[in-house]
Amino acid sequence: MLETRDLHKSYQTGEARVDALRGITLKILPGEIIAITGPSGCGKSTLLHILGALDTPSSGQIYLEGHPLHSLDDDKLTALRRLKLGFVFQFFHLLPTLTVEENVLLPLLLSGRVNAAARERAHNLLTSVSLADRSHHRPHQLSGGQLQRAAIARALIHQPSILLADEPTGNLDSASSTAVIDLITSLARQEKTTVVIVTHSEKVAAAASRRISLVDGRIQS
Amino acid sequence: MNWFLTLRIFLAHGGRDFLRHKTLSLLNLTALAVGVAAIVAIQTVNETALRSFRASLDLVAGRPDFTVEGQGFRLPEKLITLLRQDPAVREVTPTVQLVASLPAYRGEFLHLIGVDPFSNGELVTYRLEDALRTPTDAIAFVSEPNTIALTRPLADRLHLKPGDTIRAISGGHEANLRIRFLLEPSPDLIGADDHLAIADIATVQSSFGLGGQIDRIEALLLPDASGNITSARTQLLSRLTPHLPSHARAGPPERRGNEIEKMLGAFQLNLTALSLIALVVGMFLVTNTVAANVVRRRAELGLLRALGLDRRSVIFLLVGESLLLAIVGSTLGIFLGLHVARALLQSVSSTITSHYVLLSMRDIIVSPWSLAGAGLAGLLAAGLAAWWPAREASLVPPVDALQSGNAADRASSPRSLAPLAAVILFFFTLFFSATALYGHIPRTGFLAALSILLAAAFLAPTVGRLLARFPSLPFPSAILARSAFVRGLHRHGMAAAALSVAVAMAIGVTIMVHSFRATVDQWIGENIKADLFIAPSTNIIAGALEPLDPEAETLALATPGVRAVGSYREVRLFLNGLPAKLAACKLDILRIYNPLTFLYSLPGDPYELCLKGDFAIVSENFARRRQLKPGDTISLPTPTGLRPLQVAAVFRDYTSESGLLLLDRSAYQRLTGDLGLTSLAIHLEPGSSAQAVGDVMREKLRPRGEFLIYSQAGLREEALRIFDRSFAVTALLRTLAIAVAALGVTLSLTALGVERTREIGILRATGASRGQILRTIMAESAYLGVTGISLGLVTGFAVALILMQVINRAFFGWTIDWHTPYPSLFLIVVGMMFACLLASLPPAWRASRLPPADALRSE
Repeated sequence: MLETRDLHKSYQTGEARVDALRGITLKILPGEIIAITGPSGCGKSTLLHILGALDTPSSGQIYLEGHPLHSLDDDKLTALRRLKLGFVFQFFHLLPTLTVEENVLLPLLLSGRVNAAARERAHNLLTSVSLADRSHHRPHQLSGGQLQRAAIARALIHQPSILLADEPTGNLDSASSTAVIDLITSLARQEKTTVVIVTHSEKVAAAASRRISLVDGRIQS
Repeated sequence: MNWFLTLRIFLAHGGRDFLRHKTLSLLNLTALAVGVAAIVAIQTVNETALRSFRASLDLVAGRPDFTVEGQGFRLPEKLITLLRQDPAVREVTPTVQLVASLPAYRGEFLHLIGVDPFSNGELVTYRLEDALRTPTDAIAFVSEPNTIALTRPLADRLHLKPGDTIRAISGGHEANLRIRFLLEPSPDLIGADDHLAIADIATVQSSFGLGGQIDRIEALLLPDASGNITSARTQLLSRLTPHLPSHARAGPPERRGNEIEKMLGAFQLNLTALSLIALVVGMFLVTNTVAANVVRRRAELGLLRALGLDRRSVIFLLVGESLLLAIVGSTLGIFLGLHVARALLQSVSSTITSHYVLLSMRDIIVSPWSLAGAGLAGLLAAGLAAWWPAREASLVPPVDALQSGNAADRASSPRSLAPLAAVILFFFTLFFSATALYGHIPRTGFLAALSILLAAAFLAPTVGRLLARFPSLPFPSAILARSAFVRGLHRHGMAAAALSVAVAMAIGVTIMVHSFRATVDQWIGENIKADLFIAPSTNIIAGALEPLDPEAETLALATPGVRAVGSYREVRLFLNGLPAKLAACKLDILRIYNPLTFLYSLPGDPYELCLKGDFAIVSENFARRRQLKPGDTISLPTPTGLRPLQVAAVFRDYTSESGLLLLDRSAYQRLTGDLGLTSLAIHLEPGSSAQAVGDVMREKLRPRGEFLIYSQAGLREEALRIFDRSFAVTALLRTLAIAVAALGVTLSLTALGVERTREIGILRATGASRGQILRTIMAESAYLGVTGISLGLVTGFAVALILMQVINRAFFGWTIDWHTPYPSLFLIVVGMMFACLLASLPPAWRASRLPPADALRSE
C-alpha cells in the first residue's frame, strides 16, 4: 500500500546541511496502524510529510498504491492528497470562519463533491465523534478535544486510504488524548483505513499495531 | 528605560523582518512615496507659479519701495512728475508693457517692457550683455532707437543673436526691433518669464501707439525722520491718493504679488486638497501594514513586554519604526514628486495663463521648505497611521502575546464604534457644507468632502460584512473566499476603506468634471451664436493680453457675406478687493444675434437699460461672490473717475473664473476712454459659408500680423480644449490616488498571505490545488473590491454633490448642472475591479506556490 525505498531528505540552512532522513525503507500494509516515534528532530514530521505527499524526498522512492510519489508533479500529488490521504494535526487547524460541519466537508468541497450523501456522511461522522450537536458551531466555540475530534472527522470524510496524524494528542490533556486515540483507532478499523501516527506519547504508540522508531533520520527498529 | 537602546534592538529585528517580507515592505514604501509625491508635485508647481510670477515682476519693476500702477487701463505720464516732486521720493522710474506677437515665429510672443534707462539704475535686476557677453550699460538703448534686449533662453530658442532684427505686432502697430543685448536676470530671479524683453520706454511708446501712457511707476523713498520707510510710504500714500486717477493703485510693491497669490489661491487650494487625498489613502495603508507587522511580531513584542518593556515603549518602538520607514518613503516620494511636477508644469502654466495671469514656466523651482513640508506630511501621516495599531499592541498582556496560534486569528477588530463614527462624520459633512455656503468660510467645503470620505472609510468593514451575507457562487474557491474575506476584515476593512476613498474621489471628480464640461458645452451651444471669431494669435498662449488691430473690425464689416460684427473688449482688474474681468461689447448686436441667458434682471429690457444709462450686466459668479442682485450698485474705477453702475441683470457665463462685468461698448468707451478691442464675433448672411468668409478674412489680415480665426465649431473645440487642459492635473491626481488604492489591495492580500501561510498549508494538505488557492485569493480580492468600489461609488455621488454644490459655489459661484457620465463611471468601476484582481495576482501566485510542508511548519 505505502512503500519507501532508501528515502533521503536534506535541507540547507545557511551554510549548514541538515540530513533529516538518511535512507528510510519501509512498507506499510493496508489496515495497519503505525506509530512513528523518536526524539525531537529525528525526522518524524519530515517522514510524515513525505508519506503524505506534502513534501518530496531528496532521493529514494516512495509508492502509494503503486503511484510513484517521488516523481509526480504538484497537480498529481494534490489529486492524491485530495482522494487518498487524510491529515490530523497537533494544532487541529480548523478554518475558523467555517462551521464544524463545513470544516468536515472541506475535502469534499475542494473536490466539488458536496451533495446530500456527503452531508449525511458528515453527519454520521460527527455523530461518531460525538459532535452532532455542535455541527453548526464555529471552531472557537469548541474545546481542544472537540476540535481534534472534528479534525479527525474531516480527515476521514472522503474515505482516504491512509490517515496521517502528526502529534494528534500533543496539545490535549490526558483524558482528551485517550479519547482521541481511541477514536482514531476505532474509526480507522471501522473505515478500514491505514493510519500513520507521529507521536512522542508511549500511550499512543502502544495503541498502534506496529511501531517504527527513528533516531537521527534512520529507522532504529 | 533606555528607549534608544531598545529601539536599536527592535530595529535589528525590524530590519530582518523587512528583508524577510520585502514585497510587503516595498509596497508600503511605495504607497507612502506616491502619497508624498502627489503633495510634492502640487506644492512645487504652485510654488514655481508664484515664484516665476514674482521673479518676472521683479525683473520688470526691480524692488522699489513704492509702486503706482493702473489696473485695467494705463496711467498718464504726468503722474511721474507728481511723484518726483514729493519730498519723500528719492528716485522715480516709469515702465510700460505690452504683449506683441512675432509673425516670423509661430506661437512665440514678446512680453515687452519699456524702461527708462536714465532713471531706473538703482532698480535694475538684470544684466545686459552684448554679443561678446560683455556687460553693457542700458543707456546704450537711447543711442539706437528701436533696439531691445531679449532673454538668453528665448534668443537661443528662436536662433537669434545681437544684431538680428525681429518684427513685432501689437494692437495693429508693427515695429522692426533690433536685438541689441541679451538679458541676464540676476541669480535670485531664476524662473522669470523668458518671453520678457526690455526696450527704452520711448521706443515702446512710439512703436506701439502708446504716447503719453505708462503702466507702472516705481519709486525709491527717503526714510522719514525716524529712519522708517514704512511710515514714509504711508505718508506718501495719503498725500498722493487725492491726485491719483481712480483706477490707479498705489502702495508697497508686495501688494501685486499678494494679489496674484490671492487670485491663484482657490485654484492652488483645490489642487492641494486633491493631492492630500493620495496621502490620506496612503495613511490607511500604513495603518494596515503596521497592524500586520504587529500581528506578525506579536511574540517578539510579548517577549519584550515580559522582559520589562512598558506600554509606552511599545508604542514608541512601533511608531518609531514606522517613522524610519516613512523617512525612506518620503525621500523617494520627494524625488518622484519633482519628476511629476516637471511633467505637470506646462499644463499648469497654460491653465494659469488662460484663466488668471500671463505666466510662462520652463523649469520647476524647488523650495526646500515645500519639500520639507511634504516630507513632514509623509512622516506625520505615517506616525499617525502607526499610532492606533501600536496602541492596540501595547494593550495586549505579555502572556497572550507569547501564546502561539494562528496570527490571523489573533488580529483585533476594534470596529464596533466605526458605524457610529461614520454617522458623526456624516453630520460633520452637513455642518461644514453649511459653513462653506452660508457661513462664508469656503475652505470648510474641503472639510465637508474629507468628512464624507472618512465616513465611507469607517463604514467599509460593515459594508464588507453585509456583502458577505449574500450567498456566494457555488464554487469551492468562492465559498472559501467568502469566509476568508469575513475573517480577514481586520486587514481588508482598512484596504477597502482606502479603496472606497480613492474610488469616491475618482467618481466624485469624474462626475463634477463631466457635469461641468457638459454644462459649459451646452452653454456654448446655446450662447455662442456667431459664425466666426477673430482674435490675436498670442491669445492662445498668452491670454487675452495683446489688443486686436482695430482695422480688423472695418475689414470684417467690408467683407461680402458678413451681416453684423460684434466687438469684444476685456480687461482684468480688481473690484471690491476681488479679481474680475471688465468686458464690453455691442449690446445691440448681442441682443439680436446672440442673446444672453439672464438668471435675474430688473424689470424691463436689461439691454435697453445698458444702452441708455449707467447700467451693467454681471455674470452669475461675479454676483454670487459679491452678493449682488439686480438693482445693486458697483463702483467702477476708470481713468475718468469712480463710476457708479447699477446691476441690470445677472447672466449665466462660464468664460471667467473671476467673474465678468459687462458694459455696452459705447458706455465703456465713454467711461474709460479705452478704444481697444480684444476680439470680434462675426455673424454671416444666411447662405454665406463660414469657411469662405474666414478664408477672405485670413487673406485680408495676413499683412497685419497673425490672427486666430475660429469657426463656431472651432471655438467650441478650443474652449473645451482649454477646459480639458485645466482639469489635466486633476485627472493625474485621481490616477495617483487610484494607484495607491490598488497598491493597498496588493498590500492587504500580501499581509494576509503572510499571516495565513499555515492556513494555506492546511488547505493544500486537505487537497486544495494551486489553482484553487490562486482562485480563492483572487475571489477574496473581488470581495474586497466589491466592498470598496460599491461604497466608493455611492460616496462618490455625495462627493460630486459637495464639489459642485458646496466647493464650487463657495469658491467660484458657478451653476453646474448635474450630468452623470455613465460610461466613465462604468469604466472606473470595471477598471478598479480589474485593478483589484490584478493587484491580487502576485500574492495569490505566491501563496499558490508555497510548498505545503513549509507552509504547515510556519509560525
